[in-house]
Amino acid sequence: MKIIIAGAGSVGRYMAEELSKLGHDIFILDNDAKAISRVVAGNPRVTSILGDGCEIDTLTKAGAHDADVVAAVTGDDEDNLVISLLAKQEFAVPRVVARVNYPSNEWMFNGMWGVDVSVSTPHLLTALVEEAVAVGSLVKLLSLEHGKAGLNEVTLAEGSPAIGSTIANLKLPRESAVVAVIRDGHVVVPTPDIVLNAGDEVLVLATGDVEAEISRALIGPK
Amino acid sequence: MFGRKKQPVVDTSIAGTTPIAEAQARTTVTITGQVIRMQSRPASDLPTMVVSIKDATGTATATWTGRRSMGGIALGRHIVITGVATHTTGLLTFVNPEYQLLA
Repeated sequence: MKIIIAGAGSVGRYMAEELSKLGHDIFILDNDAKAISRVVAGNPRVTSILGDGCEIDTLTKAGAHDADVVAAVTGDDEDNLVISLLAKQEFAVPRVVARVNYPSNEWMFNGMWGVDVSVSTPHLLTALVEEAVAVGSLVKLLSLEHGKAGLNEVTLAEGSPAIGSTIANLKLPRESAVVAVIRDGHVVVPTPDIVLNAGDEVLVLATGDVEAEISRALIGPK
Repeated sequence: MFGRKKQPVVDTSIAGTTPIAEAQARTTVTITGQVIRMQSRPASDLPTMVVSIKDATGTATATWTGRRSMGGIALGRHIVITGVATHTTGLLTFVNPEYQLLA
């Protein structure tokens, strides 16, 4: 896939490196020559471009017309929104991902500004910390499709109704699915006949307003 | 900031337009047709105006974000739309395109 990354800070450079390793073609742009110079040279899958991502010309130069994804990951939320809007409106990029730097700005990162998926580092960190300390409660790790779908995590506490049950027999709502079970640091593929144990981390992908039902199935009645 | 003016212009020349069925995704195209459907999202949701435009060959959708109405656009009106479209939903869709009203 062709991915344009706007912002060659530590986040953008890391993404470029990781995504290029996965076989994607990366175009990374920044208007700061120093940031661009830090992009590791000699990687044939990474092209760096000096220019302002908020300008149509720069995005044109990066080939936004046939990009599959644009990721706006600068340290400036205003820039990220402008880049997202341009990518969607002027280049009809199918998938626009934007980084939220300040949580108070997150409400703007939606379809109105061309953002398909927003990633907020502070929120992600809060969720991860919560996930690290919470046993027996539902933690929302990720919001997808503008909050219509979410990845939830529950670490099964002693006394959870799910313990001893197979995944097939869990009373999960229809609009949800167990996508993985993490047991002793290993991923267990959630086939229907896996029996859940206390301490298992259960990852559930769900759409719609079914969190209460998932809680009932994995945590028990309140 | 975005390089194109969104003000409606009355223009009766429709030269250079592409039939909707032949319009390519992800290039700048100009189409013309009649407004057959208008939809404004409810107040609780993001303000968005969605307009369906039909010509003899097919139907396209234009979405304007951040607005609940677009000056001059009304059901039955003939309009010209210029912008970059997607085909991802199986329907030619424009986001915040430039538009002209035909007399």
